[in-house]
Amino acid sequence: MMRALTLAVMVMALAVTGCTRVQYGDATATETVTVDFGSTDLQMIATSMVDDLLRFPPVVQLTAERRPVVFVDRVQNRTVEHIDTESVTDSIRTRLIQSGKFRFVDMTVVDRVREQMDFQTQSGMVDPATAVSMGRQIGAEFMMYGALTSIVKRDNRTRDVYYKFTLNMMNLETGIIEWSSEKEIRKTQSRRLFGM
Amino acid sequence: MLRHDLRPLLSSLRPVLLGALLTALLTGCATSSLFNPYPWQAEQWKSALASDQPEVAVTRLNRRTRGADRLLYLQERGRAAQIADDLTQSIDDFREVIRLYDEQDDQARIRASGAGAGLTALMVNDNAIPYRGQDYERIMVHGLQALNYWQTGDLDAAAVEFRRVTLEQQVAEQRREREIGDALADGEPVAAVSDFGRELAGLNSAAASVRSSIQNAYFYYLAGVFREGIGDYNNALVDYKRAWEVNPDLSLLPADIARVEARMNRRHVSDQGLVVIAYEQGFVPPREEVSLPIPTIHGYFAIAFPTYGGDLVGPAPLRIEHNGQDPARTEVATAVSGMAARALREAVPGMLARQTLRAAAKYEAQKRANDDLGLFGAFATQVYNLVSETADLRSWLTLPAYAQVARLELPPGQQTLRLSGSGGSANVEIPVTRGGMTLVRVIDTGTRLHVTVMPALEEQR
Repeated sequence: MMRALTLAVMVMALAVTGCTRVQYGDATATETVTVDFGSTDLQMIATSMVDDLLRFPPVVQLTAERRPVVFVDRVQNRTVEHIDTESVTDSIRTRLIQSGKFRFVDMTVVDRVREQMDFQTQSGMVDPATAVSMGRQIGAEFMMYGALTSIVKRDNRTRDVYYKFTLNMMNLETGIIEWSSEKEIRKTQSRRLFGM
Repeated sequence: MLRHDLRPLLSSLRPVLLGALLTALLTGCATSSLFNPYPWQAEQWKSALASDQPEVAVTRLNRRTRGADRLLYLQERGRAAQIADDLTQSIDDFREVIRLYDEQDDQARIRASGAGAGLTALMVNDNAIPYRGQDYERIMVHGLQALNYWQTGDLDAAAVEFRRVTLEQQVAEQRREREIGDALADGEPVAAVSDFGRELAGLNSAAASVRSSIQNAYFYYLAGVFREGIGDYNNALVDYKRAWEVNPDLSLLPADIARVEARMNRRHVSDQGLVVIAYEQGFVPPREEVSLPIPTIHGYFAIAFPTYGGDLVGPAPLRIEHNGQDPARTEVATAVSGMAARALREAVPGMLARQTLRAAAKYEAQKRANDDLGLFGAFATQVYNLVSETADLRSWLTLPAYAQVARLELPPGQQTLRLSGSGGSANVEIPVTRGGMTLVRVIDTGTRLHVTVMPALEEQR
């Protein structure tokens, strides 16, 4: 009798103190922990945008002979979540560069570039023959910008989230939007009836 | 067979189990509100906030933010850190509070752990139920967090929180409507129980000072100010109109609505800059306990429930002087004390229902004790029944009692304002830009003014 009780207590103790476990997972696996914006949404948006852009006939024509220079302005976060939209545009930019069709300039590092150039030309420590020359950077031809919006509906049982990601590419010289695409995502989560 | 074997074992263990249960119930009283009324605890950090060293309040709260009521203490600490100008701490705390609220939304509708707390609540009092927050508090968290982000210059994050303010008010309002609808369908009375009319008189008069326990005109107004400042005129107009709907007495709103409509139509508005003063005055009053002893043949029973006193302190405006003139006074946008009272009045029927169940449980325990435990046991049970019956007085107490606003139009450049309120007066230098928006936030703890000037928003063209 006592032995059974002791055993039960030990099993309980083991169950309560169970150690933490770390494991690696597939970074592209579908993640459905909550309806909040997650890795799967990010990947879906990036894939959809890049595929759409590279298939768009005028863009195919445009990139057949040359690799246009683009800069990413920003994607406005108009949702009710704190989402790092720069991470989405980073993914899109990386994939476009990998495709070999586009080249990019990065406006977020301009200050640090200037600092380095000033160091090369003005500090007197760098051999002028190897210093990069000023005024030779290539100007961007296109600008990418967009917005991420969401509509959230929630009641006692369910939470429904609709995301819409819009991305535009504008010709800076003419002001014409050469390409535009949107990706919609809808997720619904229902609350469990029983739980801890 | 097994049951038969277990019985002597259990009976020999009974005193130990009983002792363990009592110890579990009685320990940790210092940081829980089971036997130590919450407003007494809150006095410790509220007095620190009113002193010269508001940061002491944050350290006094540190120890408490780990228990079952951590939602409540984190709300308090987030607000205390805000007053003490420790924005990093405040942002972290409110972020955690928001996570806890979101987690509640995702929890199963019937929970095993909830049943445990419910059982303790049945034998002790409502303070045994972990604090789950109230709708108006949840909305305030998002609003205060938006101001935190605005102050740090993170306008995108501030915009997110202002959108959450709107969303949470909508969700709470819909839920309230549905509950009223369900109650009507079930034929239950919607109004608070009228049997305790005298005890609840103060509560009723305080609750009557606001139209809703959910809609918060102050944060609608500040959201409007923010969106107008960043050039989102469409949404700014909606916010101002909502603020006006919630609080039609707010006399500065018609001019705001007209101005934003003009801006939407790309009309030139003014060469002056707009300055908005957001004034958070005092502390929201604590709940008070009403305790009624009820004699029966088996002994005395107490019933206790929370209420608000009828003598709420009225609002006092902040006077704003510019160049020796007296151009403006703040007016009340949201009476948070009224919202708290209204929220409590809506919760009273549920509290009374639990009260009835608890009285029955304690009555049964007393009857048993009288029969089985002898004179001393019966007396001890009697004392326990009377002492353990304390009302649930928990609520977020570092919120302001009144949230007020004022608006001025000043010429561009550095301007000096003199602010005087009940907590003292201060001179403040503010930047004003042509067509831009400057928000000055003043928190008045009754003895001091904490003034912060938000980064000015330039006019968008």
